[in-house]
Amino acid sequence: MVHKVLRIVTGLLVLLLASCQTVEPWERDRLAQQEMQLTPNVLDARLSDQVFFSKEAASGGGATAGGGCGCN
Amino acid sequence: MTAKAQIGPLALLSAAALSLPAFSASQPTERVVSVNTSVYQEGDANAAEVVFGDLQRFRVKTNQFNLSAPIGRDWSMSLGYDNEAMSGASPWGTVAASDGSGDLIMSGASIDDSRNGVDVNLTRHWRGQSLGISVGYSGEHDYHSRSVGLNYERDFFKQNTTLALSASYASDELTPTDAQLFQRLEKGSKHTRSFYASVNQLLSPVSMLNLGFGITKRTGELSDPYKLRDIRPGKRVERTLTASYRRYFDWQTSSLAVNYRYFWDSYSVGAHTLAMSWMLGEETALQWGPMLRYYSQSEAAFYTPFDRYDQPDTMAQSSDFRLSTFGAVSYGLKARYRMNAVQVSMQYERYDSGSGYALSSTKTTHPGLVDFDVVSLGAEYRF
Repeated sequence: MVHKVLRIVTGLLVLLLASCQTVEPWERDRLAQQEMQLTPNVLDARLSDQVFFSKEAASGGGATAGGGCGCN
Repeated sequence: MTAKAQIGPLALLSAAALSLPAFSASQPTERVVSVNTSVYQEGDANAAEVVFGDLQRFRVKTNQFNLSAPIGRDWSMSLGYDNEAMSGASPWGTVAASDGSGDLIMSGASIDDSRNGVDVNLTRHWRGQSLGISVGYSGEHDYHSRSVGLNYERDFFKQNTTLALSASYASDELTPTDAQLFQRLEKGSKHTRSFYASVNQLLSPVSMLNLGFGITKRTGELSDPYKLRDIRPGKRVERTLTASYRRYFDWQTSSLAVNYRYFWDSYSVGAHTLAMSWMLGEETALQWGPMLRYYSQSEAAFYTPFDRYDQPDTMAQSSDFRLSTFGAVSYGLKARYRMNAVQVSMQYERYDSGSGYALSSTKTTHPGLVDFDVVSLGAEYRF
């Protein structure tokens, strides 16, 4: 399963990078919109992380590891 | 300004300039104060599957605060604070049911606790790179966690590519309540070390992709001391692969966010998470949109549908529903309204879980699986 996922991710990466172009600073107004950010709202993200971490086995995938509460 | 009013070009360019650091190591240029309050409510346990205890499950009220700001020409900081008040009953264990699954033993609804968490981050910015340090603390009456982290970012190719590296360490102390009364562990500790690396790539003026890999190692007392029979290996290694994609559409000035995570660990849990949200009216005062999340996990190698007292207490076992095979679908709506520097937001999310949602098949459904609703209200001020 891991190898299958890795192959799919690698394939997508190659495909997307092959099609990317240099984006100049003055072309980034739409990329700068709030919902285009990786974390559009830091408080919503913290709340979601806490809720899902306490109810599911999987966590992580961000800059800091899950942890820090007695809920899991 | 009406809900349909357009945000002017100047405001748009300002927003662009102010938000860009999210894609690069640059110093943020404005101060942001945000607050949020939310209520999380779990559905009651099914009376037909509970042999003891209270049916009313958890309710959590959360208040949050965050401040982020530039300091001087080269520094920035953020301060976060969370307060949670929780009450309700939670599963203590399971006994064998006639159909081969388990029936729940619940605690009383007398659980009444609170958690306070604070984290501070300080970052130094140079041209094209940044280095930050963060410290955090989270405390409950029976649980204390202290953490420290480092994060480094570096831009390449005219800030079209950003590499981010982070490492963190957390040390947690457990002192379960009524330890002697219920013969629980009296004191324990656990340690978490993690490393995360990601690459952010702008694909076009309207799209970007982020790929990440993370590894986390947990050691120490990883069993749940409040469960009647919960014996887990004292070491857990978790790995994640993540992919995030953002795409802006001129139609309705909307944006699509897609996040995928594959998780696998040394407990033999494998999990897929796919989350999508669609926001309409990015350049108008009122923004709203739906969100959808799908989650599926396979059970841990030592998961058992009911507690096994016929096995020695040196053998790993857990009937925790969070280690069972299940899936979940959550969906909701979010809306924001901007008034110059102030923004208010609302969000509702519904979460339904069950073994039927899982990608892998299982013979039994854990009666402890939860459904819940989360409603939140927030405000943000930029200056």
